[in-house]
Amino acid sequence: MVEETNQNISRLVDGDMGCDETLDLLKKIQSDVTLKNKMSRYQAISQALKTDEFYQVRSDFSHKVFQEIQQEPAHFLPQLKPKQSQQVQDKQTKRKLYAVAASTLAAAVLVGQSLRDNPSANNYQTVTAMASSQQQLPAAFTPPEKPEQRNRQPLNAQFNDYLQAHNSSVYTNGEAHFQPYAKVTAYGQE
Amino acid sequence: MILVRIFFTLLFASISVVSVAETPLTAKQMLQKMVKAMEVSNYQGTVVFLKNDKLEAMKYFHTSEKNKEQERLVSLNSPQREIIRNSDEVTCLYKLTQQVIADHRPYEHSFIVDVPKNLDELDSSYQFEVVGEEDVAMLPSYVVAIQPKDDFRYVRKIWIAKDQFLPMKAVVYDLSGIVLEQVVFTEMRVNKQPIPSKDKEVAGVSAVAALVSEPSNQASFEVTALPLGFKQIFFSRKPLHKSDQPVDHLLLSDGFASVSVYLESKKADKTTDSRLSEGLHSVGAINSISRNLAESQLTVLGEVPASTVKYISEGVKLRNSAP
Repeated sequence: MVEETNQNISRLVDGDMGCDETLDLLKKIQSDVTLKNKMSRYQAISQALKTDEFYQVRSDFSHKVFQEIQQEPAHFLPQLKPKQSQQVQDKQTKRKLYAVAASTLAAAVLVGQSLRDNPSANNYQTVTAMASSQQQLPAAFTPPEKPEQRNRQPLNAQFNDYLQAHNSSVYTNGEAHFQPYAKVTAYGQE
Repeated sequence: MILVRIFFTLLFASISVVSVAETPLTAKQMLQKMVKAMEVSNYQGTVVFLKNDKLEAMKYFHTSEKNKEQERLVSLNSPQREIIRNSDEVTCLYKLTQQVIADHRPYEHSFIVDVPKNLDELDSSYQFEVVGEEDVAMLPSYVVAIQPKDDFRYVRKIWIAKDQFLPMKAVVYDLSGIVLEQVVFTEMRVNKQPIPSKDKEVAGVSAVAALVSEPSNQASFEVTALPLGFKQIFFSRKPLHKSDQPVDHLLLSDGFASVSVYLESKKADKTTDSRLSEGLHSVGAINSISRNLAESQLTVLGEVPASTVKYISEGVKLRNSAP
């Protein structure tokens, strides 16, 4: 039984499992901490073998996604009959579980992709750590610069002169090529 | 009965005294106390300027003795220089090239932050608010936000030390909240005695003629449209470049933000490369716009949004003759 479960987890991680079996296995894993940990280990091994890189999804990742889905706003649709309602609820539960499985796999693919795109990223970081630290995000996710920041022009002599006449801030700006227009005299230091 | 009355009178009096004493300072009061403290305190520290994506660390000294103020900045990194402000005269000493640049700044008072003395005049364009308390350089400070009432100017925040009421940090944000410039003390201490002022080093500079504002109606142009709160504060006509070509310079200010309007003849001995190209330019918090105005080149420049320099430049019209 244990061996069979291990094989199923391995198939799930390799993406060789059908939808119904995936659903059954995810239900089992959800209620069993040992299986959760086992799945994490299998995922780590699989990823390390395939990509030479490793990231660890937190064990409560699926649960959090599930909770988020549960908190989705309710839409007030016409009330169904009780029998139909039970069937609809079962279908909704199944859909939610599919959504959890799909979200987990999508997250794995996205993070794996981002790690490949950015070799300088730390190989051992959790998904939450990446999400919380903007500096660790791959370049593809860097927010675009504001147009005003991009529209910088190289300073020319006339602009420098105007800046200096405008205020004293040029003196505190360490521009090495700053060309003063004002009185230049010999500096006789005692 | 009389005793009871006396008791209640004293009680009310003491309550009102306590309540007056505990009334927190408003943002304006804090800024006014800061301006005063900046004038009379002797203090020094290390200050970092972040402008145009460049970081500049400097030692800062402020001396106040016999109603005379001196500010001094000594750069910690190349190019090594020492900048001294004595009243309205600013001198920059370049150690490596042994050059001295002397200039008059009658409209500026501090390298750290310039705050006008009469803040009530700014009510039409800014609102002032204490938005929190934070530590800067390990000194507990009030955070005062200076929020513009329109999109013609930037947002500013000033961190004021609770004990000394000296400015610890000043930040300029653009309209979307991005930091454009900041000045921050990384350490600061107040001295009981004035720090000896540096007069010997500037002895090599011959006396610099005071820059006197000329009437702005002598300018070869007039500014017909200004954003609310901006005033003409200074006008001069003098050579700004290496040639003798005079340049008309009108300085405008709303108290915090300043804008310069320059007009000079295009006939000056400039190559096309050295001339400022037409259109908008941006350097850190400073935006500028240049355009041709008959045979002259007009440039409007200041630490305001690009839309402001554009608005002012569109309202500039030539008087009878070019400079």
